[in-house]
Amino acid sequence: MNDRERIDEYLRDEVPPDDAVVVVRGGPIAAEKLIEHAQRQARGYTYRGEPMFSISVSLTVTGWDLASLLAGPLSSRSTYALSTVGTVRAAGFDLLPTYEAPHYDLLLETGEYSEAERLLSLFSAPESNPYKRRGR
Amino acid sequence: MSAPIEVDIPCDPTQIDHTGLPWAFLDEAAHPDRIMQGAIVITGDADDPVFARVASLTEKSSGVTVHLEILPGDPLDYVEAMRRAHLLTA
Repeated sequence: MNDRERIDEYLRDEVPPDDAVVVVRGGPIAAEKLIEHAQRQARGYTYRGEPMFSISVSLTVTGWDLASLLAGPLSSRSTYALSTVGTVRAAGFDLLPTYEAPHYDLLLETGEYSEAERLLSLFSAPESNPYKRRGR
Repeated sequence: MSAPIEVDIPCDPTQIDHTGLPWAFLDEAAHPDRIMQGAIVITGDADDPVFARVASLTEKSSGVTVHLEILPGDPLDYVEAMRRAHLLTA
């Protein structure tokens, strides 16, 4: 087994409220992509001593609204989907404040297909990112 | 029939680390020998490809990590600009 990095060293001291914060996942919005990204993260990182299956999400925490997320950290993504902190937490998924705000890691237990599908069911249908426009 | 899109190195452009940059594993690259510091590559995935510049390669026990600087705009924007300048036919 390789020596993965410990994510614990990169956590911020931040707890977003359940009802006020939107969770934004950049596209493509597909279970296969969530698995691919979660497995890559688990190959490189651990959380509490275990492989860290997670996907990156952006949250509308202080200083960030949806427009600034779509024009900033998600500007390369053609599509996005929305949920709320309360919704994903109530379904048993935890959010870790990693690196710099507004970045969070949304933790999965296994990184398996059924779990990724269950997570996706908590998000809206994919929408187009208006801030990724082709110039004319 | 057009050829399927093949990115140089797949990544999630939103999956950053402490550097603030997205990253990928070198051994996932279609042609790892093309992935060198400063190289312009296509990353993301076939459904939503983007241009990036290879910022660095770092040897880790989990594999060689490639940090990528995502370039703005859509890859087709660059093609259109090159067509306007006749760079593709020069």
